[in-house]
Amino acid sequence: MTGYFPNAAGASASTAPPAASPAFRLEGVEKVYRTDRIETVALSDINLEVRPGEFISVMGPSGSGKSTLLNILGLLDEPTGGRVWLDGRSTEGLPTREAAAVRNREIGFIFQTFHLIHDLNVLDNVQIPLLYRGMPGARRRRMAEEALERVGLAARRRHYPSQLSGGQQQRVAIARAIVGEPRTLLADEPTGNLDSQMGDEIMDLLESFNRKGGVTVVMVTHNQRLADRTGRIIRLFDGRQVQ
Amino acid sequence: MLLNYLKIAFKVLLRRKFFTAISLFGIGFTLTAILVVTALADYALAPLPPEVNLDRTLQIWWMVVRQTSNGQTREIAGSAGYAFLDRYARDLPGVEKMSIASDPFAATRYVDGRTETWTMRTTDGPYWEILRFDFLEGGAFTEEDERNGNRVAVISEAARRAFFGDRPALGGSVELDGQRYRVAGVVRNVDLLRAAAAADIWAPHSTRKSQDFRRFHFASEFSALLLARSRADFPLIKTAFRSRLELAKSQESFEKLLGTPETRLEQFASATRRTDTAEPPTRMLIGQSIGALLLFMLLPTLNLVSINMSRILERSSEIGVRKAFGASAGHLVGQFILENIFLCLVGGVLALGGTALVLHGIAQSGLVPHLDVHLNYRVFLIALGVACFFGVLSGALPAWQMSRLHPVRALKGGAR
Amino acid sequence: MIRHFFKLAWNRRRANGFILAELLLCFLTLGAVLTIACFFLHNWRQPLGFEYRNVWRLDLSGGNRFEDSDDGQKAQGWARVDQILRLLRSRDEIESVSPLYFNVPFGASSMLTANLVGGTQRRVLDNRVGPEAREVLGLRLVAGRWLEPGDEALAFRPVVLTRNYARALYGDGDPIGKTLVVRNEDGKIDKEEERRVVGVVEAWRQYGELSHAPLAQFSLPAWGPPHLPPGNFVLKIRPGVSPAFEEDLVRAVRRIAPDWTVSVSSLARHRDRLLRDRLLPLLIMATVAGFLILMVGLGLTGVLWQSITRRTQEIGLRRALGATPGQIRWQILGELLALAALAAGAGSLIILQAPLLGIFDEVPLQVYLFALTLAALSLSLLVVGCGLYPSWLATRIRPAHALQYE
Repeated sequence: MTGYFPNAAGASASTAPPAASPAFRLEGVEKVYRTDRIETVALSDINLEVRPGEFISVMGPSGSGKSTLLNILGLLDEPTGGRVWLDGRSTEGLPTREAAAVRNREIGFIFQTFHLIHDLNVLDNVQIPLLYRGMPGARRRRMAEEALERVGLAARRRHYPSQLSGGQQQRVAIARAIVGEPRTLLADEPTGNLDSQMGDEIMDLLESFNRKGGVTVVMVTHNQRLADRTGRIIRLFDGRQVQ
Repeated sequence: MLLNYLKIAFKVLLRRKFFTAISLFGIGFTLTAILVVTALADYALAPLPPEVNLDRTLQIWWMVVRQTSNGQTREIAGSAGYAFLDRYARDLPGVEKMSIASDPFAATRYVDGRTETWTMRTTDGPYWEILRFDFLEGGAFTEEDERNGNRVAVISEAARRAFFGDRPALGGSVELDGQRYRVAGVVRNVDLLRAAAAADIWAPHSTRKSQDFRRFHFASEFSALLLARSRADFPLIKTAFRSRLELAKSQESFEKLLGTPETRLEQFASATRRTDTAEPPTRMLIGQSIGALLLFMLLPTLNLVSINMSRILERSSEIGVRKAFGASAGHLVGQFILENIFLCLVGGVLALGGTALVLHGIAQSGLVPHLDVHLNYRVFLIALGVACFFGVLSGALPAWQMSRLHPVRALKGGAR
Repeated sequence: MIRHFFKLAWNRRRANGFILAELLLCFLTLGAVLTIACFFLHNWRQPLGFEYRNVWRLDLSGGNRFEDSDDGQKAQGWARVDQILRLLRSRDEIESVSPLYFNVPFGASSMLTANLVGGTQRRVLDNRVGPEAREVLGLRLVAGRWLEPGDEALAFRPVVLTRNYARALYGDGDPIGKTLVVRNEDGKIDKEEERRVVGVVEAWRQYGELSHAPLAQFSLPAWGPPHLPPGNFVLKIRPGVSPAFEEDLVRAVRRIAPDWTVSVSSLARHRDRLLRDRLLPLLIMATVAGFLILMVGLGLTGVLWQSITRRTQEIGLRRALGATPGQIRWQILGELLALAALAAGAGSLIILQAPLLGIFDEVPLQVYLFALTLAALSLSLLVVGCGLYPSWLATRIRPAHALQYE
C-alpha cells in the first residue's frame, strides 16, 4: 500500500512536515456574492496554510462558509479577493482549462450526497476522472478495479448505485476520488448522510489513505468526534476564522 | 367550476412560454396538414355543382377483357368502350337516367401560328340532365342535335375568354382539330375534381370525325353515368350489371369480362385495384388513409408526450405538495388533461386559420384549375375531434405517470 | 469516451425512449425521401438511349387499335399510311421518319411482351419500328448491326436488344447471332418464328430520365394487310423550323385522312409533362418530411433543455472531476449523436428490408446505401443543431453552485 501514491511525500501526518512548499496557502482570501441588490460575504480574510500529508478538519455552523472554502481550495470557485497557492504555484488568473486539468490530476472530491451517476455501474463511475485524462480503456479499467479493491468493493463492480447502501456508495465515491492518484482529497461532510458505524468506516478509509499514502486531506464536518481524530481543526464563523 | 380550471390552465401555459409555443406550433402544423387533406378529400367527394346528384350517381368507367383469337391471348384493361356500355349498361333496374360520355381528350386549336390545347368531351343528351351546369349563355345541345349531326358545342367561361375575348359567344364559331363548331351555350368553369363534368368544351357524339367508336366494345375511352332512383338502389344496379356481364362472358367466350358501376369514393379506390377482381378496394383505401393519418400524427404526439413528461417532472414538487395536502390522483390527472385539451383546442383554432390560408394559396396557385374549396362545418367538426383526440392521447401517459408520483420523493425534487 | 456515451445513452434508453422513437421516425422519413431522390438522381445520370430534341410524334387514330376492322378498312388504312409516309418524306423540314407501334418515348401506352429472365417473369417492351428509327431517335448501337430494309427476306426474324436485356439473357457472352428464346411463366418455350439477335443498343428509357431502364427489343413490323397499320410515327425535324409548320403538317395529313384524328406534338413537351408528374409526389413527400423534421427539431430542443436542467448536479460533478466546459459540451452532443446513431442503425435495418425482400427491385442496392448514409448525416446535423443551445447552457453551469443545489 505504501507504493500506491508514488508522487506523494510518503510521509505520515504525525512526523514533522518536510521542507517542501505547502500543499495549500491562502492569503487574505475573501469571497463575496453579489446579486442586484444584495451582497453576501461568504468568506472574509482567510489566511491558511496546509502542509502536504496533513489531515485537517473544517468546522462551523451552517452558513459559515465551510463549503465555500472547500470549493476555493478545489479550484471550483475563485476568490473575489486575496490569493491562493497550490503546491507553491499561484492560481490567480488560471484559465478554466488548466484549472480543470489540475482538478483532474491533483485533487479528489468527496461529497455528502455521494453524487454517483445512477445510470452507470460502479466500475464505470470510478473510471470517470480517468476518462477526462484521455486514458485508454484497458488501463482505465485496471486502475478502477485497483481503486475498488482499496475500498473493499471489488466484488460489486457491476452493480448500480441504487443497489448499494449509503456507506457502500460513499466508498465507491472515495474510490472515484483516489483512482487518479491525486495529492489531495477534499471531503465535504463525507459522513453526513451515514449512520455512525458507517461513518467510522469511512473515517478509517480516509485515515489509511492519509497515513499510508501520504495524501493531504481537508474534511468539512459537523461531527466533533470525527474531527478530533484529525491532526488540526479550523473553525469558521460567519466567514471568518475563529479559534 | 370548469371556468376555474380553465383559468388555471391558461395561467400555467403562460408561465412556460417556450414550451407552450413549441406545443402550439406542433399541434397547429399537424392539424393544418390534416385539415387541408380532409378539406380536399371532402371537396372531391362532395356533390357540388355540376355534380349535384353525385350522391345517387354511379359511374362505369373501366373494364377488363381477356380473349383468345387466332391462337393469341390478349388481355386489355382500361377505359370502357361505347358499344360495351351501350349494350350492357342501358335500362338497368333502379336507374332513372343513363348517359354515355367520352373521357376528356385534347383538342388542338391553331391560332397565330401558336398551338393551343383544350380539354374536350363528347356527350349525349341525358348528360345535361344528370349534371346541372350553370349556363351563362344559351343552353345545352339536345337529342335532336345529336340525331341531325349538328356541329354545336358548349364551351366554358375560360374558353369563351380565349376564343371571343369580352364578346358574347352564343352563335359564334370555333375551330378545333380542324372542325368548325357553333357555340350553343357557355357554362361557368368546372374544376378538375368534378371528374364526370370537367372539361372546357362539350360536343355531341355525332360530331366525332369517325363514328367507328359506336362499334367498339373496349379500349375506346367512354364512361357511363347512371342516375339511380335512390342510394338504396345501388346494390340492385350493381348486381344486375354484373349478371349481364356473366351472361355475356359465357355467350361470347371471353375468358374474363369485368366491370362495375362505382360511387365516387369507389372510383378513387379503384385506381389501385388489381385486374382480376371487380371489387373496388374501398375498405383498403379507407384503412390505408386512417393508417397514414395515425402515422402522421404519431410524431407530433410523441413530441407532445415528451414535452408533457418534462413539464410534469418540473412540477413534481408542486404535485407532491398538493398530494401531501390531500389532492386525489383523479383531481390532479383531470386538471392536467384539461390543460392539455385546452392547449390542443387553441392549436386547433390556429390550425383552422392556417388551413384557410393554405387552401386559399392552393386555389390561387392554379395547380388545380378553377378550384373553389372552402372550410365547412364538417371540416370544423373534424378539427375539433382531432384536437381533442390529440389532447387526450398526449396527456394520458404523462398524467398516469403523475398520479404514481410518491409525494415524499416528489417533494425531494424528482421522481426516480 | 465514445463507448461511455453509448453506455449512458443505452442505460438511459427508457427516459430517452421518446427521443429515440422520434429520431427513428425522422430517420425513416428522411430515408424514404432521400432514397427516392437518389433513385431519381441515379436514373438521371444513366444515358437516355435516344435523342428527343427536335423529334416530333404524329399520332393517327381512326378505328380501334385492338379490335378487328374489316379487310376493306384495313386496305384503306394501309393506303393512307403509304400516302402519309410519302408526304412526310417529301417535306424538307422533316429529316427522317419512322413508323412506330405504340411505344413512343415519354408516352403512356406501350406494347409489351414477357420473358423468363433470371428466374422471374419480366416485362419487355416490344418495339416494332422502321429501319429509319435509329436515325430519327439517335439510337446508339454498341454491338452488331441495326435493322435493315432487306431483313424481311431473311429466314429468321432479326431482333435488336437493349444492353440490359442482352446482359440479363446472355451475361457477358456475345449475344450476336444467338437465338432469342422466349419462355412464358411456366418455363415453356413460346414457339413463334425464330428470332435471332443481330445487334445491341445502349438503352431505351421510354419512361423518362427519372424511371428505371426497362428491358426492350426492336424488330421490323409486319408490313401491309392483313396486319394492322401503324398508328404512331416519329419525325426528326430540322432545327429552326417555323412554328407554323406544325399546323401546316396537321392540315396536310388531315386532307389525306379526313375522318381520322390527327395530332402532332413534340417529344420535348411530353417529356416535360412526364417529369412534372414524377416529381410532384416527391415534392409533396419532401414537404411533409420537412414539416416532420421541423417538429422533431423543436421538440428535441425543448426536451434537451429540460434534461440539462435535471442533470445540473451530474454536470457539476463532472466539472469537479476535471472536465473542461468544452468536454461537457461534447458530452451532451456526443450522447445526442449516440442516440442518433442508434436511431439511424435501427432505421437502416428497417429500410434495408425492402431490397432484401425484393420489393422495389428496380432500385439498386448502392442507391439505398448512399441514401441511408445521407440520411444518417442529415439526422446527425439535425441533432447537433438542436443540441447547440442546450449544450451551451450546460457549459454555463457553475460547478460549485450545482453541487450545493439540492
